[in-house]
Amino acid sequence: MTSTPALPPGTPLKLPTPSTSHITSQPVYPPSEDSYLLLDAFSLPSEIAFISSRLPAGTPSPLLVEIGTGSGIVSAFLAAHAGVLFGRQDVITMGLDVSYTANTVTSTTISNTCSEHPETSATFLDCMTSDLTSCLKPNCVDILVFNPPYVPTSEHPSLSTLRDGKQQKVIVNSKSREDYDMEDYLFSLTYAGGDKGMETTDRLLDQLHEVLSERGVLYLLLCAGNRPPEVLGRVTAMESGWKMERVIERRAGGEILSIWRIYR
Amino acid sequence: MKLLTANFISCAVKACKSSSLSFPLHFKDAELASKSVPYNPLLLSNLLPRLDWPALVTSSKELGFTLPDTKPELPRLSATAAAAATTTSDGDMNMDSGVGEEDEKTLRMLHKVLMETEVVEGKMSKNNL
Repeated sequence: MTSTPALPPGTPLKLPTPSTSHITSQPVYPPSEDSYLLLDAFSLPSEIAFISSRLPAGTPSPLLVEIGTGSGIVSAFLAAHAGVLFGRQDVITMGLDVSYTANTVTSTTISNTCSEHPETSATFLDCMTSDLTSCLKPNCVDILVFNPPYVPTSEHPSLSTLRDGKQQKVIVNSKSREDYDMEDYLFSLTYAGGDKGMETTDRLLDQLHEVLSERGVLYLLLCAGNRPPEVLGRVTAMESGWKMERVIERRAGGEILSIWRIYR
Repeated sequence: MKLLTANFISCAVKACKSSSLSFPLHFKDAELASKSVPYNPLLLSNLLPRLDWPALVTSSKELGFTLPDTKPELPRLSATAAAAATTTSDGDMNMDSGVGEEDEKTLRMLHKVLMETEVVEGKMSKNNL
């Protein structure tokens, strides 16, 4: 298996994009070029074939988890089109985000989209407030999707603001100074990746062996500033023989974005 | 939160992960709601192998449901049966899978507990005191 295959042949299937029109003024990451690249990555015939061979129909139901769901567009797409993208509908899905507001919005996006596609949709369970996959029991995720805060920034926002013991509330139509400050903070969490834009992604890679099942696959978005060749070197050097392969790459504005699959 | 979800979550504190107390988390002051979900026997039969049954029994008991002490044995619904499945207008799957009456009862019971029971308010904690 080569570590950096050429881009897979074929064109992504054209499946309907989930609607996020119910999101009005909630401070969540809006569907963007990186979100759409993830949709296209999963829609490549070569990727559909790869997942179907990793998780063939008849094997125990796969658990699909997205970290940092934001608007919910990616999870909604994958859940609603599971029958096409994974070759099976007996898939269960969960969304995780540090923002309670994002989780609330995502639940609606996924439920709405799945109800529009009953003939292909998976079963959506819940969205939960969680730092990465810390709320899950070990080694249970079969398909993990992460569009991380990848922008290199001089400062990396701390999660401690969310861990002050107070229950988060849904932020919508902010009026108070306190809410505006919280909005700014939540937006900073959606993109600011700290050193090389890798501080959050590195934390996930550190624990990946405890998160994925034996057959599990992580789909990870990187930008050129994350230095994908360095990430590749690091992943392939991890214990128990990890592979990291590029699924798709695209120039988007000033960025070069790529999606990678990482698995044992 | 669905009862099925509780079968996949544990205490989020890293130092707790190896402790037997970290899973399952225990429901307290749980307020339940029933939510109608399309019945999907293929999903249930393929989920069963990956469920932690003792944990599910514990969680169910906390919410007032009694499940058998041992995991029910169900025939795995075949891909052929799945292919023969049709989806009705309300999203229910019609299976001509030859599932016996007892198995059908078990599947319906699992469907009600795992898929249709929602904890809408409440707390989850590590110890059961």
